[in-house]
Amino acid sequence: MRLVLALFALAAAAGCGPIQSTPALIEADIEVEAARSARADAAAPYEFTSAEAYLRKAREEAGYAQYQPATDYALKARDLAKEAREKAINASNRPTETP
Amino acid sequence: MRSRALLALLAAALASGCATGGKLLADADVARADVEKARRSGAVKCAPRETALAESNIEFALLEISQGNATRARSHLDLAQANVKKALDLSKTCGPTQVTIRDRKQPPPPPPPPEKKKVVLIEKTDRDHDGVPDLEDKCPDLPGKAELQGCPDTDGDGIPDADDACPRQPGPRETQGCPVARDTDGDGIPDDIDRCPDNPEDKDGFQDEDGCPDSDNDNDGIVDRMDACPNNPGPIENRGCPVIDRDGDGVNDDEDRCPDVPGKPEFKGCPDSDGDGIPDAEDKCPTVAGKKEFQGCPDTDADGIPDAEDKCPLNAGPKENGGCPDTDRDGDGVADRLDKCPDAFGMPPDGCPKKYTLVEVKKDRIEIKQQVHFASGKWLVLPDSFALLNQVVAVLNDFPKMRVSIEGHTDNVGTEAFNMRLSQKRAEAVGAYLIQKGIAADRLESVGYGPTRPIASNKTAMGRSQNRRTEFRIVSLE
Repeated sequence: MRLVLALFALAAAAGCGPIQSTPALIEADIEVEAARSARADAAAPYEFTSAEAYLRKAREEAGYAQYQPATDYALKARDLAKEAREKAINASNRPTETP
Repeated sequence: MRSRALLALLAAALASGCATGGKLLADADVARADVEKARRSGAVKCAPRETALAESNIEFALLEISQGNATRARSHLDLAQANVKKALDLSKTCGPTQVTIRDRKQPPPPPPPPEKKKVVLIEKTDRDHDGVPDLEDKCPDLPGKAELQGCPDTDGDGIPDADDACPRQPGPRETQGCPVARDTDGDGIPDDIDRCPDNPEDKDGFQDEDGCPDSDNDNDGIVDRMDACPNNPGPIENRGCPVIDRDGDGVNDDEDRCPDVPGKPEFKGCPDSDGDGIPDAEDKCPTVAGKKEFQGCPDTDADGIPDAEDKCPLNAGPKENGGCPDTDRDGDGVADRLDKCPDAFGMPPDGCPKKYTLVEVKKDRIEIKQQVHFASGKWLVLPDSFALLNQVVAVLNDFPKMRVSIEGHTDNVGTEAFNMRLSQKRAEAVGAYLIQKGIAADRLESVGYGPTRPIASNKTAMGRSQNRRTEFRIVSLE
């Protein structure tokens, strides 16, 4: 058991990049899809477009094995997607303005 | 030399990489400035997607530049510039127009109007306060110079930032506004990539890109102006040119008339396969040793006729006989081909014998047709034999090189000792007669054989008479 743990730790140390970046990417992906469902693309186009762009770049960097920027961009995409989603939700909750 | 070339290549690559990186960073700066401008014009609201894409792509470009990926950086920058342009365009139409609404002064005595009228005046605006009205300002949100239509020129080089590849460093238009690198030694290679910035490149076609003069390109210790081959190392003995000897015969190719075939120095590098001292090119028989007078062909029997023309190459012979030896059947010293009497001992030049009456010259002897007569029991030559001996004298005169042996013989009557002495004395007496007649003594020898060499039986008177005789044997003709 100890040996297995040691091996796992060694593998994690040797390839910690993917270990960190992969969950970040998944998380960002989920957030972006959630924002899309909330129609953030129309309600918060700046944030949503940015989120999509960062997520795309994060995937690209992960493809080049550049895990640190991949992680950074994924986290940024996640935050932007969250922000876009919140704005979309707020916009939909706002009472319709009467002229 | 190779390492120099590599260094030069590396320097050029680095210089090129730096130049590309600098240009990309400058472009990123410009794009960022444009985004700022767009933002101020309300682009986030008017063109949110374009602004977002422009901003994010600038950030991505910077990341790629930091990683050294110029191509990917360029593609992000292109995207950023395209989007910022769109954002600027869109924000022009949707941004807030500066409008001033003023109340119009009301006339003093009024019949009060039912409602107040408002007049809208649109004034000339100058949002960036650079003195250039927005309508004429190409960069209405960035303060700039009037001569540049209101656009900024941060480094003051006369090129607006938007067109300036290096907006923060002044430079001429020829280099897109980037500064020109210094060239201290004036060799046309900027100092930043010049490995010898203080020594001008000699531009002799050898490593001219490194900026360093190469006085001895090939490093052979001979300066280029004295070196017949400045780019190929070679010893001074060869005027700086490499010693090339393809056939390895010790004769350099430039002096070797046969550079691909090993040869001898005395023949300027050409071979002499048969070792006869005549090079193969001039040797009619290059594989067989021969003589110079026969163009290198052999004359085995040394008769002066080369083997190829000699009918008898192994036996010496005159040319007249095709190189074959002459035959002389009669042994008279006149070759058969010249001898009119090839079977009769004769004299030169025709080889025919003289007609003697009492003697006849044979191959090995002078044959006498009579016997020499002596006084009985004595050695006195009797006068009746003088005619015979005179003809022997004539033969010896006709053949002046002939040497003869005068041999005296007896029968077996009497003691042997007596006969031996008598035959000797008689031979000597004949010899004395011939000497007396003018024949040289050294051409004659006298021998007495006594009864030892009979030619007939001593039992009969006839036989004994035949055994008593004098003979003239030819010893030599030459």
